[in-house]
Amino acid sequence: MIYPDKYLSLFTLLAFCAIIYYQIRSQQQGAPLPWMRPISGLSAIDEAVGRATEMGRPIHFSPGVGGIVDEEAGQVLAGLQYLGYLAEQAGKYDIPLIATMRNPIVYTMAEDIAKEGFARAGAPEKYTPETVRFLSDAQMAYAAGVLGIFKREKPAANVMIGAWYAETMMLAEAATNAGAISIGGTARLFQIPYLVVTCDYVLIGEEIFAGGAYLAKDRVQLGSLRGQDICKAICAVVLAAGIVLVTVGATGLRDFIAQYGR
Amino acid sequence: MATKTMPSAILAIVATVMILDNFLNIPVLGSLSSEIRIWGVIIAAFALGLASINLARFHVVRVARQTTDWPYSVACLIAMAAFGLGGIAAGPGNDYYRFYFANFFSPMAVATMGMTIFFIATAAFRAVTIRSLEAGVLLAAALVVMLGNIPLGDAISPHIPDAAEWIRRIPNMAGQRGILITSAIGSIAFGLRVLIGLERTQFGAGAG
Repeated sequence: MIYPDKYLSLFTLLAFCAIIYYQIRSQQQGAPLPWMRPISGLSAIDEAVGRATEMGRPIHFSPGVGGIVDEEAGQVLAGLQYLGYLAEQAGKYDIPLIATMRNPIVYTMAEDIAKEGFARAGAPEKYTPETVRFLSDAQMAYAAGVLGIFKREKPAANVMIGAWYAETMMLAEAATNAGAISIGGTARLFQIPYLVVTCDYVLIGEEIFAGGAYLAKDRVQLGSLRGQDICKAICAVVLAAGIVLVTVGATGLRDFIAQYGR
Repeated sequence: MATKTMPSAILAIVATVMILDNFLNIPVLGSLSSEIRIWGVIIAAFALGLASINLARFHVVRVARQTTDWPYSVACLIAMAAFGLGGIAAGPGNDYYRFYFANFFSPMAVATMGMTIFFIATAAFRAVTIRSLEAGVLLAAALVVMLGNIPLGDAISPHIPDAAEWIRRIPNMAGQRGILITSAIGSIAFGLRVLIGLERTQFGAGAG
């Protein structure tokens, strides 16, 4: 019933889920709060809000050009967490928020998230149809639209966290040229270097999924983060063991993973 | 409450089917996941309609209020009407539609893509300005990799292409694998929270 080459993948997935779930439950039941290493990109979100408040200029947000029915869905959904937080802060401090969307499904979700964010801040009336904007379903048309917004509306901060493709460099650099502080984040390997050279702060890989834990200090998210760290430690041990074994000529572990871990 | 619980429940069911289909060789799961993908396409089509209405409304308001650069909004509305109504009336395979696509949309998309080179130039200049040890390492690695990819590098020293290849294959690959593994674990954790209903930010709820 189980595909023979996927035994190990399924086992690993279930084991990691069990570890993460256990840690979430422990946190919900009042376990001591785990230590969190500071992530400058996440601390910078509040800095961006403060900057926009002082300058009286908008914050631009985008979850990238990825959709939610492909492998980048997790990154896009993680990016939308930041939209909720930014909408709440925008409502609280009366800052204009501009969220641009490329994917129509993500757009409908983003509208709801932004509305709820403003409502949580007690300022639902500050949400307007101009807050969340669908620009285009075409990648470069979307990029051109965002460039125009940067040029015309001069945002004080640009938060671009999600699934990014070839437009990454263009948008982050245009934001810098418009005088905005840029916070970028993605788990897409080929776009991370572009964000690193163009943004003031970057969330690399899994850091984009840690937003809830850092921004909301929520125990579920903190437990999840601790579970992730345990899983990473397990991966590191397996990797180290693999390196040692392959170096001494024992390929059993490598072959086992190759056969059952597709 | 139901507005948040119902989508969570539907999401959990759909996600479970898709995940199980990846691991289990059960024909009914395969058909179900194919069906779900078709539903996804249908929902996307509806969402696109909704998004287009938002776009049109936004630009109509801009034109009506004659805000800054409102003529661009007129251009956008004309383009939407020409493409949208033309495509609906004549179909996307029609000569009229294909003419506009090939002579307006494609050149503009390529031109926008081509602008990337100018942004790369300014970004690269800032990136290689040595402000810290990390920036210095970045500059050194970038120089070696760039020289290793052009004949000049080999002319200076035959070791430069080897060094460039080593940077690509060892430290670069190690870093990429690290990011890939931790991102995958982050995705698993996020997916689990969504599945068991502890993550509802995607439905507009606050964290937790």
